[in-house]
Amino acid sequence: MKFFWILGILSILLFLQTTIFSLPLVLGGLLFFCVLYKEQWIFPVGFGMGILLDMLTFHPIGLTSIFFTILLGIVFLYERKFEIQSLTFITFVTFLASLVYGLLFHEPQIFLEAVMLAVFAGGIFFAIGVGDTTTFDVMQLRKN
Amino acid sequence: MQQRRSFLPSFFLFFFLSGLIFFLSSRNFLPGENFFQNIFFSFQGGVFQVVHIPFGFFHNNALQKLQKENLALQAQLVHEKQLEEDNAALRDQFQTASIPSTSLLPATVIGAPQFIPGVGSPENLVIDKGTKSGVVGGETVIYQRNVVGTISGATDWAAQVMLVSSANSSFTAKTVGSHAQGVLSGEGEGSMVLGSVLLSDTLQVGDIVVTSGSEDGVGKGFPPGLIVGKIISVNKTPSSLYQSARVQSLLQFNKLTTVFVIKGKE
Repeated sequence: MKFFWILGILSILLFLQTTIFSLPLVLGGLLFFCVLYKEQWIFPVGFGMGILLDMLTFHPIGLTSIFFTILLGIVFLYERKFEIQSLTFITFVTFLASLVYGLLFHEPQIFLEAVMLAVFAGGIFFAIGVGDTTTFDVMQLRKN
Repeated sequence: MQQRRSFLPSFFLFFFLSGLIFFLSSRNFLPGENFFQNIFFSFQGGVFQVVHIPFGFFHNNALQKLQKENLALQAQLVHEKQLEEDNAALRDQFQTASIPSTSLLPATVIGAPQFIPGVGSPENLVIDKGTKSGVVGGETVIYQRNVVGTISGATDWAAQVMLVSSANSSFTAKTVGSHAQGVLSGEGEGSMVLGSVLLSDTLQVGDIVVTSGSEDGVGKGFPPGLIVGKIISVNKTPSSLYQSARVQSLLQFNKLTTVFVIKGKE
């Protein structure tokens, strides 16, 4: 059930990104759910979203999927050694990933978009956090 | 303690799949690509119409009406100026400045991604006509004789329009009043600069800028005489080789819902 509503949210972000917003919303959403759940189903989700994004934004098909897969792989590698469920990590990685995405796909206003996306991701992460601003209790969310 | 599964198999699997799809797509060997694009572009069009409506409620209707009238009057002014030039040229029997007749293909805007929707200016538009409707890359897109941009990419069912104000846009243009020739370059966020204008030419604030004409034999490129915008400021220093002017389009790209593709002669 959780998988389907995450797909639904990412689909909404996909269509918002391709119609009215130039922010890389799908990238932010993928990173957010990757940090939140740390489960491997994020790879096929990222792969599928990348393909759809390429189709709708006239990029070479497969390029965004490659980028998303590598990014998620780096996050999982980092997760082996360090804690990633923190406000600092989600904000920082969203900012960096958005910068690289903007450079790769020649987006306008790369820095402003990266800042805005990082603020959104961090803000939502903080809003659903359980009191502590530095760590997030994922066990409580999994129970719910 | 539950043993954590390695993510590496999933990573390599989807990395390989992505690479394979990228390779097949670059060789145009990807099956089913057009079928999925047709479905998703149809859905995208619906989403854009729904999302565009709330921003429409904040538009001033009277102001919009005046803007439309202004566009029509500016187009009429340029047309009359060109009729005068045609008249003079025909009398001289040396040259003509008339615009060749071409057919227009109407298209609905189904995407206009921008930094702040309703406030900023998009870099590109997505329209609901693609190669199946005869749209090809390089064709000019206009609205009421004002140039919107050129087709930068097209699939079977949709096409991307690079706006004239995009940072990647550059073409020759001239002013209607003084016929000053220059290169018009986009700077993003709806801003354009007419540069490389000789110091001996006259640039005036308020003068209309039109395309010089860079059309090839099959209709790609800008036909001459299309309105690009109006000069809002002039930058002229005697020590420079050239002067430049900031140009603003008469169109509000974030509010366009219908545009027209100039089809080349077949």
